[in-house]
Amino acid sequence: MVMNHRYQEPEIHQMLQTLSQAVVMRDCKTVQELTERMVEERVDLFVILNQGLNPGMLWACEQFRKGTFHVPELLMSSRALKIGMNILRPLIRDRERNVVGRVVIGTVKFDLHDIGKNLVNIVLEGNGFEVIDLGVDVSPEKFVRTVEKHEAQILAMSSLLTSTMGWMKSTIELLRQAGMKRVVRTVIGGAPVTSIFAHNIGADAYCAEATSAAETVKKLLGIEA
Amino acid sequence: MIVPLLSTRLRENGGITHQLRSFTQLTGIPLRVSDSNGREVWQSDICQKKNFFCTLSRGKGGKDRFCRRAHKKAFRESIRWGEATIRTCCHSLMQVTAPIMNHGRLVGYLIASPFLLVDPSELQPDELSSLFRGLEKKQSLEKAISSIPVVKDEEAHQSAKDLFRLAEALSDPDLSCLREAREIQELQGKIVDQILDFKALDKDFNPQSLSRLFYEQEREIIVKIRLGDRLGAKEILHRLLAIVLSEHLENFELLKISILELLIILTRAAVEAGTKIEEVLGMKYRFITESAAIKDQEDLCIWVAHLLEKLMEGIYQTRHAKNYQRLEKTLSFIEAHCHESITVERIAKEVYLSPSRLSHIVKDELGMTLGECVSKVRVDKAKDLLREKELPISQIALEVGYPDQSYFTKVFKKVEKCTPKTFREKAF
Repeated sequence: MVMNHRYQEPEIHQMLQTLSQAVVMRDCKTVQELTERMVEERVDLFVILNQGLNPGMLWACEQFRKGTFHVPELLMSSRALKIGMNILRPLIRDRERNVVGRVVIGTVKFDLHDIGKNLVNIVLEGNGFEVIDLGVDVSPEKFVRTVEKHEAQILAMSSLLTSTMGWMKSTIELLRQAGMKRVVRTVIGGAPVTSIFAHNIGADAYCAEATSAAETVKKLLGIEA
Repeated sequence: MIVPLLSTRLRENGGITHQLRSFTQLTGIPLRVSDSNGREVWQSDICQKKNFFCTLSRGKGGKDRFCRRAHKKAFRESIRWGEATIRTCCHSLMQVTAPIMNHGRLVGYLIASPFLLVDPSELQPDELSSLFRGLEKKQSLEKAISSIPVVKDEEAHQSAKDLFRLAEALSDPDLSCLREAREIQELQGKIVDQILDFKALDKDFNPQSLSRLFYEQEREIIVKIRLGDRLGAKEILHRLLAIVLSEHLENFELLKISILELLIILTRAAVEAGTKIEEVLGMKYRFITESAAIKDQEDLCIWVAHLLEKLMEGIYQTRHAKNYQRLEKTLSFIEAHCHESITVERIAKEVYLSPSRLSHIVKDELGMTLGECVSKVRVDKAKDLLREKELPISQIALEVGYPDQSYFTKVFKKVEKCTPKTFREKAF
């Protein structure tokens, strides 16, 4: 944690906790104010993201899983997260100006979940990656076409449903058919996705959580993390 | 053919249009009914107002194809999940959609939109820009935006539920055709929960650890089935399915074989628990014949989940039947021996059960303790005897196993709420 700010560590810790709580409570105003204040106080951007915003979002997702949150609450938590990320994103981008690699990312066909993927985006951007985000419901053809067009080194796919995971396999298959499988490294992630599945479908890596995305991708490219 | 069907239904059923109007009155959200081609057949009064956002944003020349596309995506999702969907429209405003079905076929949809989850004044620059994307006349639109209803996030979920009920009322016969979709998605959700738990518990998630886990859970589910523990067995089935899917999701044939193995485990345990072997063989046979037609893992999973339910039901009924036989034997034994001293041990020996098991069965099936049951049988017999005038009460007490007459009176009063004497008087 960067400590050249006027707050003591316990205070920062408290602020991070309040930030998390604000994401859960969908209190966008507090998220905005606190994120701005912490940025001003030079708290490390990734600390704000990984210890403030992200845990709040994970907690909200957990509430959704348990059934205490429904879609509208989840949407509002994700809006709060986005407001925080909008403050951090340009700063994180600026931090690492050397582009270490180009990533094409998206949620697979028939899958409309994007919270986890958006987190991965910002983590990758903050670590010097150029990210081309195709959004949700992306077909294998679109993935492969974009990778080819932008000459990306990495293809990252997310899936939140057991019923859509098969599209990851189809995309990798299409990549292979296009003769790009050896050139482009593939990484997959999402709630039902496991390392076993990644291995079985021939993906080059499995990313367990958004926060470890940069590390996973750097390892794939042979860059020291 | 379809259009008149839906619009006629609306025209002829004043009750339903009243309900549609009430929805908007209660929630503030504009409501529209469209046929399956996206043509509007009914709309709430707000939609006809001059500054209604959707009318203004569409402009001239059929620019509503984006809206239609968004609606189409939304009702497709709704059919897929078996419930009303809440998502953003092409202008990033909120919309709730529910399908109207006629015997399993889509005939139209309900769309409650637009609404916001935050006050328009709090919209962020990126949200505003996506709201205005591709639109002209921004000034009049800004006015329209300020009149878009704001719904609290907790209330939006309730509105979605209400909308689904309205769609159900408009459907023929109802939306039960979507029940299976909902069931399938719920099951998949539970399976994903289990996968998440595995990943949280075991960082080095690998095929070896999965096989070990499968073996453990296999033993566990056998125990649960034998115990007749429905909920416990169901939860472990979700875990077993999560293991199987983690191993073979990408290979449907392997997945099918694994599910068949699972089926054998379940049925074997069910036979041990008392289900008739013919029934189980029938289920296995059906699986083999039906599984050829099952083309995806979701259907395969729900098939096994249903099978487990059937097996558990079979066990429950067999047990129930067995218990029933034992109870009959117990009651006739008490009746035949009620003039003697009867202990729990004596009856238990007679029906080949342990005293505690017998007590449990009696309590479960009759809702009374064995002692209360004995008293009841004795009092019932006493009542028959009391009706025969000649016998003195002391004699009757003795015949039903109470040498002490005052104790007999006490027990009788407890069961019948009156003394034997009063009973006799009333009987005649």
